Amino acid sequence: MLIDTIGEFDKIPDSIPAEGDVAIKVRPIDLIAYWKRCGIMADFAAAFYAYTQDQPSVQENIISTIFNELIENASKYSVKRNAEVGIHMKLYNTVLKIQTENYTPESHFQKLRKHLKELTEAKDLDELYIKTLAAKSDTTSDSGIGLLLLVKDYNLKIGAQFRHIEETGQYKVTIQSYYYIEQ
Amino acid sequence: MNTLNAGDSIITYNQSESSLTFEGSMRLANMKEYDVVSQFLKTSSESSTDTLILDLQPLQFLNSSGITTLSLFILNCKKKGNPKITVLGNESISWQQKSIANFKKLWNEVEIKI
Repeated sequence: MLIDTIGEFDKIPDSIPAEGDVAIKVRPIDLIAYWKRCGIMADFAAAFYAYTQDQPSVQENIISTIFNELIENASKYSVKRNAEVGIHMKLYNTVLKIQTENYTPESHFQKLRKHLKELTEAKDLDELYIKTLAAKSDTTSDSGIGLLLLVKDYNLKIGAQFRHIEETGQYKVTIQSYYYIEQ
Repeated sequence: MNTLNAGDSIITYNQSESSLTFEGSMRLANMKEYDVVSQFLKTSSESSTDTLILDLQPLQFLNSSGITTLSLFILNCKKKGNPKITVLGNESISWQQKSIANFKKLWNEVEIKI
């Protein structure tokens, strides 16, 4: 089993006890078929964590935006059947860790790995944002800026791990993101 | 006034004020689903005056595909040189406070009011 790790993976390891520990599993097909469910899940997660914060409405909009981008990505690029998307959220005082897990085909793995490497190694995120948009064609179905905006505008710390599953040829993608709740 | 329903959002074009107002939550699945929004923006801009107002103040959420759609529209206006764009934002809505300034990075002549 080949393992590849990018960025700030395991910045806060799972062995550290957390509060507000929530795990959700969902089949990607159930999100693809009814897309609004991504937003519904995001709003739930946001309400769950935000109401204990000093500025609940501010945090609710931020957490919902972050969660929505992560769940949209995980479901969009998953193998659609006989697989699950997992979302695990843990609160460590003022840091919210959101981890998504999904299975993706080889073709998308290569693209995602390249994108995440570029994103985690970029010196100038504004420049990357402008370059990414300028390179967009009218026919592309991906925005390609979801994770980039989270890192650039929300100061999200991000890491990823890819595991090759030999039996299926797929890759298990684990993305960890850390949102430092603004006080 | 012309309106477009896009998911849980409504876009209203007011020709007399040369403004497009976005309300609700716009989180469509991908760029293809946003084609109808792109077309609405394009058609509205063709009948607008020299300046077009994008009023995002009542827009609670916009996902990255939506931000890309608005960004590509702005880049297209930049390419043509018109209309000039003014973006109205709401500082109490966090995504706007964080991301709305990006539009000016695409075209320096975009005016942001938040």
